Amino acid sequence: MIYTITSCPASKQLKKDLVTKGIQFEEKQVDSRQEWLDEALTYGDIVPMIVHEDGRVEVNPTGIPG
Amino acid sequence: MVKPSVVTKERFASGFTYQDYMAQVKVNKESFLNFYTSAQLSAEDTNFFVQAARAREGIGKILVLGEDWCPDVTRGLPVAVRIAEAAGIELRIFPRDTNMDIMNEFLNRGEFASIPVIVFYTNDLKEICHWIERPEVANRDMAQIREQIQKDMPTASEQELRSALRLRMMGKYPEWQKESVREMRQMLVGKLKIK
Repeated sequence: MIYTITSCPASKQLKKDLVTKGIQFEEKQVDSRQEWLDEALTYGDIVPMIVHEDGRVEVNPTGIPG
Repeated sequence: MVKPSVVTKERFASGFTYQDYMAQVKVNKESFLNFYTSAQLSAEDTNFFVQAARAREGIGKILVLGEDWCPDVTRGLPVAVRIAEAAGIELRIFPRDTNMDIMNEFLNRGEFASIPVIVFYTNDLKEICHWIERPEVANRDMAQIREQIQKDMPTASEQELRSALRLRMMGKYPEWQKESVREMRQMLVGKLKIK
């Protein structure tokens, strides 16, 4: 699962990187639905964020300011 | 030579009024409304901002950069709105991510696009000062509460810690809003010849 923001350059880059690597993902844009925003805040404050299947949270691996 | 600001009279006028902004927010509408209620100015604060608006080269306009998904914006924006309303100052709101040219004029420590940014301008858009993100006391409170929670809940998961952190911070929010007002006043006193 990835949590993103629609107009965020780091979010766009993360999706591009995942597609390039052939990694499948489900995306929740936190600026479009309250429940997704509330859900993302339980994992961290910084978007984009990857929540792995094992529960591990990875915050903005792109290096681009989020 | 100083580069002219991208915030011209026309650009400023193109920002959202508070009413228009609230009509289009997609998330956190309830938080904005709750924090508007809790963002109260004292009579002394009101008197101060009225003086600050009437002063020579005083506050004529307030610009806020923010995004509706950001918790700091839900607390800070209503403070700016209260100030504008109390002193009869024109206020406009600009979403950060579609106004990065404005954001670049106010980067936190010259590097970070922290929001909210609340900019106080004269009527002809000379910047008086600007305030960023949250009051200093909020950073200290957050660090102290997190440390305490880690002691209280040594085996808790990060999610459980974050949930407890949010619950304990909630009680601090009205104080943080008051501190935001105090910090803004302090900045303005330093720039305007008022008490």
